[in-house]
Amino acid sequence: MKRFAFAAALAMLAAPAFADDPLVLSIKDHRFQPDRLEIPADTKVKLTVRNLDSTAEEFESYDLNREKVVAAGSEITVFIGPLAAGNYKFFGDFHQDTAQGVIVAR
Amino acid sequence: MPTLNAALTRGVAALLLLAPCHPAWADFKVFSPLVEQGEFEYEHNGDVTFDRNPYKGNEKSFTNELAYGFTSWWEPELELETDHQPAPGEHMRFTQLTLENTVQLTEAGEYWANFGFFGEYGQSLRHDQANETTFGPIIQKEWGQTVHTLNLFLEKELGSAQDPGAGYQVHYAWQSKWRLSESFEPGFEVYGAPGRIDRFSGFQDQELRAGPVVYGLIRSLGLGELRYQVGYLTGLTNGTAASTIRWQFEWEMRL
Repeated sequence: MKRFAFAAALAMLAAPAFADDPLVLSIKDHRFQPDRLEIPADTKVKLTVRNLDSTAEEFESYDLNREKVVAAGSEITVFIGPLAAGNYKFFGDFHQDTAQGVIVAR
Repeated sequence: MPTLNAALTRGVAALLLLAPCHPAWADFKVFSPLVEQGEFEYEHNGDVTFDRNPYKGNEKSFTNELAYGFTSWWEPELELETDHQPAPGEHMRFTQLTLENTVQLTEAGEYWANFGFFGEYGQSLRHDQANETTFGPIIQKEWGQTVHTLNLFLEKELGSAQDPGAGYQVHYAWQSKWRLSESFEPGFEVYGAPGRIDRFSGFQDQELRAGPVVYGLIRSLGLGELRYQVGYLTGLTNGTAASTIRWQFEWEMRL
């Protein structure tokens, strides 16, 4: 177990490389703002998702293989990529009729 | 975002959860290191073996589980297991009540792989069967549209019915799947049990099976979502039944 902990610690110490500026995505009135984000292709991106609504939402994307709840009035961090150039849809699982967006990697 | 300290703290918490702590290898399943907060799950797992040898074929295991993601990093599951042992004259029995814990150690995609820890305690419902504990790391690597997951677990019998010679048994499971579409993802799995950690069995005496599995999610159910997994595993050693069919149905909903 100690060996595993050590190996895991080493792996986590390896500093991940991200795009310079963290991207921010807000949720207000059950909509993503902006609903289209451009990111560099082939680069890992750190995305902050802020929920400004009074109800919880779930940031979900099959294209990005991400699914994470954002409690009301809080924020989460989502790590994305590196992605090949293309369009990647995401949505709010609790309000799919309005909460839709796309990440464009180029 | 978890820092290294936070991840190590979760690791310690995972060890504490083990307390006194065998994956239900009866239920062939590859555990993910990722936890979904606020998600309630009912899960059914089943498997049946086929072999001309009556002591390897017709082994059946069915589990029914309730799980809930209490936090963004901890999901316990309570499982009731029924088994049919592979021998003439055996019948289905309730065999074990198990508390499983998955602890997510790192954020998805933050490091070169996603790390988690699994620990369970199984309380036997039969006097002649030992209690069990199983624990170990879960490692998952995303690579393009594929996801690869390794479970590397140790299992230890506990209680008065334990086999003193069993020691710590190694179990591993591997899953690779291609994220083709949400409702249909092809992949394959490998399940191995080489024996005691300090004395592996001869290769042909080990349990080793592998084969194709399909996975998918069906959303249009109204209340909740249904995840399915169905696979056909071929025995690769003399110690393994010739074939095993396994399935898993997971009904998920938000509370």
